[in-house]
Amino acid sequence: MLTRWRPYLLGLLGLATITFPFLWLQLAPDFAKNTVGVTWTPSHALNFFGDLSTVFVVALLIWLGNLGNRHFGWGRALARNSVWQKADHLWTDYWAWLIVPLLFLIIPLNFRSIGFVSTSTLGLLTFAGLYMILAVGLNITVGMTGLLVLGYAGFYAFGAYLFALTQQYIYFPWWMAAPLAFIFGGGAGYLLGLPCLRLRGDYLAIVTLGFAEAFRELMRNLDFAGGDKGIVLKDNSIFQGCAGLTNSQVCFAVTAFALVATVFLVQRLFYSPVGRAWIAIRENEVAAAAVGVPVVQMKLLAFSLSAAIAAVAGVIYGAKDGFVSPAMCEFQQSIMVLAMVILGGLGNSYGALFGAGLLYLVPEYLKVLPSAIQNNDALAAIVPSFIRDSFQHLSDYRWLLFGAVMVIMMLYRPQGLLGSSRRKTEMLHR
Amino acid sequence: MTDPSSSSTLAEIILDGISRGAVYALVALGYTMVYGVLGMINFAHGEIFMIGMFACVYAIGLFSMAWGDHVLINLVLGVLLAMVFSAAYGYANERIAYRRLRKAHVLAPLTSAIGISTFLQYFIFLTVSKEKVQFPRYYSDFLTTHHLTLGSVEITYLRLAILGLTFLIMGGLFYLIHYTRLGIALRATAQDQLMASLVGVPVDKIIAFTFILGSALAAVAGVMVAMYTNVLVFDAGYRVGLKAFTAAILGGIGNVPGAVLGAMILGLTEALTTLQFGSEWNDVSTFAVLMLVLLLRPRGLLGERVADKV
Amino acid sequence: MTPLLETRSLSKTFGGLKAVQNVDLRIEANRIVSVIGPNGAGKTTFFNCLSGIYRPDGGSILLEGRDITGRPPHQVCQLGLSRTFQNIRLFPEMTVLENVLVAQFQHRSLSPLPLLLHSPHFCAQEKQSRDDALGFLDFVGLAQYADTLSSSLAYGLQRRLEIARALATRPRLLLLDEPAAGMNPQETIDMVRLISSIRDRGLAILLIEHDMKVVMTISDDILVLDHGVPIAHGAPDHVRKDPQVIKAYLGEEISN
Repeated sequence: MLTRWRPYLLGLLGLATITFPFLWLQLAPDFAKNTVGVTWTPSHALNFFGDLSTVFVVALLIWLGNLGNRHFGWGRALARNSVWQKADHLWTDYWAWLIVPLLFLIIPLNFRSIGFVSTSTLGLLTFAGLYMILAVGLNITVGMTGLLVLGYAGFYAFGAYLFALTQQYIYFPWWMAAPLAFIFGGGAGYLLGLPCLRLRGDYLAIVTLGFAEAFRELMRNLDFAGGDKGIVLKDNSIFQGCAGLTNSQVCFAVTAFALVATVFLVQRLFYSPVGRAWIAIRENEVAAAAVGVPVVQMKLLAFSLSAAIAAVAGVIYGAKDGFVSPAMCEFQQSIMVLAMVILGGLGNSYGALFGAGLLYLVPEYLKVLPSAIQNNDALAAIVPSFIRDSFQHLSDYRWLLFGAVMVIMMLYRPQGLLGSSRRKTEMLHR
Repeated sequence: MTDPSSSSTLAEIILDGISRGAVYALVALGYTMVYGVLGMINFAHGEIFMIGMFACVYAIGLFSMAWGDHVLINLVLGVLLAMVFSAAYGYANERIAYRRLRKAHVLAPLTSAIGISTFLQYFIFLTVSKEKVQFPRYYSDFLTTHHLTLGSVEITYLRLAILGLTFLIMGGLFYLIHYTRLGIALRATAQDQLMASLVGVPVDKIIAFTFILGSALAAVAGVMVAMYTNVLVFDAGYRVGLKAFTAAILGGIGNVPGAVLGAMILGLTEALTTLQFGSEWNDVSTFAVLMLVLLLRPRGLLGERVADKV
Repeated sequence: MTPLLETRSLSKTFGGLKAVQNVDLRIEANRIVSVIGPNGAGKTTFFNCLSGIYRPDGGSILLEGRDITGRPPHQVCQLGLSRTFQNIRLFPEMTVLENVLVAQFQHRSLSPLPLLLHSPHFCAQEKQSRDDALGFLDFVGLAQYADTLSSSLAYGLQRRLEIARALATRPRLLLLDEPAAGMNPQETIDMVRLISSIRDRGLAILLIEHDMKVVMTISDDILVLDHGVPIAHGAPDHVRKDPQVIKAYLGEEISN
């Protein structure tokens, strides 16, 4: 028993050693003498682990579930339960791919009269929708074609700036900006991809990352683009209320429409010779070329399409928020979208939707959960206060967890939570 | 041309560029060595550099509590401890996030590297400081305020140290790779892991060694930058890492002299940009140079075209 | 009459190594030509030059009289030359059927509107290509595996799938790189049968093979390479007796 666990124990001991100073000691600068000291602050480390306790519990549950699956076949029992298989059919049935986005569209709008969906919730859902569009768009390049893009938010910001600048300097109806952004965003992607898509895949990763950084810097330094402060459009939101809908409901409807259109576009392409060519390139580039797939063109198509989708999402963001700033193309934005795609399932549009919903909404809801618990007498009595606090702090730990999730997913479940349902169902489709 | 001030500016720009380039080179070597051996981009290398910065300040703090503020002893020991710490992080990195993914699709190790990078940044953000931390001036003052005068150019001791150390390390590395048994094993592993293991090269150990060596060099660069800019911050590694990585690509990734050349070009570009347009344009010019090189010489300046094995 | 494929003093060097030197080869329609030679003789390099993966340093390649030298692989394939690989290169995460469907890329119209709106024409085309793909699978004997993942096929079946995939591009010339490698005697016999039935469909075949029994039974013509240089060319019986070939295979002393 001990020999089996020894490497793990040694590893843990090693990790404890190298993280020791950062966790258990605090820097104490001495400003008078311009020197530095350290203080022993165990509370610091205990807080750190305390805040993460929920995560540890969830991880433990997942581990136990996994163990149970391995020894008692829980997963197989679940799979035999035909609900899952039916759901799998649903994904690929003829029109079923519209269901999720349509539900997304209909529910909040209908409940307006009941007052179920508040403006803030609607705003949250709108942002979730934008992230879903981004995730589905990024999935084309990363998931389907197997090219890593690290500066995806650069195209998002590109679209938003395109919109804000045209609004600012030329009179332009917002709905014309969307197709314009689609074309220009795609064009930017094409120009960027042209030199590096002939090379190994990882060059694209770094070039897009450089593009996002350079674009941010450029917008920050150009006076007409508002510099660091960004651009605030005159009307805070371009989407004015119409047809008895409030402002935020129009925003939501536009986002939902764009989401439906994006998913439609991507799914139709995916189940066509184009999608098969993308997958073939991901699986084996040389073989794909040898069976007549024009590899560079198809890669360019995938990359420009996903850049165009991001640019359109940027337009909607600009129109909704009425505020565009260089912070939009921060590296963290790109990483967040990437994490959504990876978590949900590389190469699966529904996985991307799922991942986006999970990674955006869960931290947001965790933020409001403590006060919700406090307001509810029954829950307040049951849930101890430290768990409440832990929820509250958890959104601070969001990035730490994203990083960990990316590593763990790559090691143990590289196909993502939803995996690729494609292979089983290719025959069932149509 | 006859105006002395302009010539001294030029000399100063070149000096500034070279010392920036030297720091980038130290970090870029880590990227390029790992790429040369494993064929993967170790995206978390910038964070190793940042860990080196913080580890050095922690070490100095610890020593000054233990036996008082002896500048030389504490600084030298601090740098050494930073190297050990960074090396340990580099090794842990390899062991946890990359070793199992060595044979996976290119995307997998790269994604996991980005994960590690994000994790380490926010680990430091959450545990050490959300704000900028000052490097203890008491230790860097001697190096930053004293300078050597060469003609019309003044070189601070710190710059001298950066340049000296970088070239020393570069020479050592060159010797190591080309004239030692370890270097031969390293090159063999880079060319063909399976074959190397068949002739008795301990491939796992060699790869771990590559990470350890690269990380230790990054720690040296980290301490230098911390002393130079006086500021430590959790995302410092990302910026420098991106620059160093660009440098490695410029020179031809996987190529050790190429990394140094790329870093120097990048440093000089930055110094010139700073003079002409102001430092806020550095990223734009860096990106422009990167795109230009990729258009003209897709494999980098010293990179070779390697045909895919079929 | 122009031959199906013609190479004129084709050469390729890697650094100092002359992998292929001055190879002249003519392949007429509906014939099986084999390329043999000891290991490292440059056979696969020759294939890579033909299929556009390497750009030759000298000489030219003509496919049906059209110069295809230095064209990228996908164009070569679209012009009617298809190949398989020595180390199998399938799309592992795709089903057997999908592997074949990918190969029909060049025969599909990709105009965006019909594709997105699923016009009747597009749907008919999609159905047609599935039927064709199943036909190719049936031809190589894999129809029952259409829905399995290609990576879970047995080794010999993976080779057959590669052939089906190459056929689906509708080539006039098929390059097979060691199709019988690693197969047991029975599988080898089946493979020989498959190759001749491909020829019966009207295709010409260029074959690399180490198994001399296979080569001698099905080849119309044999080209022998040694260190990249063609040392003999002709009918199997002629090549079998060629002293230079014997020397290349068995060494100097025995041939004397």
